[in-house]
Amino acid sequence: VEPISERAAERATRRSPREGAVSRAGVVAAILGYALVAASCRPLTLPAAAAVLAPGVALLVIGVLRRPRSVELVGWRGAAPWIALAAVCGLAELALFVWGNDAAHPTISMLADPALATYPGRLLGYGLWLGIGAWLVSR
Amino acid sequence: VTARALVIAGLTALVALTIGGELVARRGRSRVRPLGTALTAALRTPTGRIGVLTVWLWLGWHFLAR
Repeated sequence: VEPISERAAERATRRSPREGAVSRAGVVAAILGYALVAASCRPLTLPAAAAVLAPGVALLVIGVLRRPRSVELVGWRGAAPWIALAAVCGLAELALFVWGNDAAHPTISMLADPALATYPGRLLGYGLWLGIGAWLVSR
Repeated sequence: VTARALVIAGLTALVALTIGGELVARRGRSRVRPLGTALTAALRTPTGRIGVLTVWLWLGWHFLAR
């Protein structure tokens, strides 16, 4: 029996476009279903904490254990604007939280609160958050 | 101009910078890589995966649960 080459093994495990589309549709349906239920949990309650932590910790563990894709290398120059923007956003949120955190100096989360106080707002929030999480884990 | 308006203007500018940066990065000749490509590259290492996914988990906690 001839040994299977790496390329042949990859071909054998690669999904067909149809299988990929079915898999993606399943993930989208699962995220939507979860968001529909989780959005009924009001923030600052135990159910809301569980609704975030259950999929959050599960995806974190799966993501850390998963083998990363082989990807294009990105140097510091290519990523520097994104690192700078993330740092500025983080510092702005921290500064507003420490020195403001009131109606006159609202944090990003304070501005989002009115939208997240409604069911449709939370549905969108959970959908986006879980969608981003699933995308990150698939990388 | 109120302090609230200034804060909102500053945060809106950050969102605009993010969208603008993405558009510039997608033009091809730019040295800056698109956000998705940069994130995928950051997820290449175990440390990067833990860092990015922890930030994602914290965002969910901060906006949806706390």
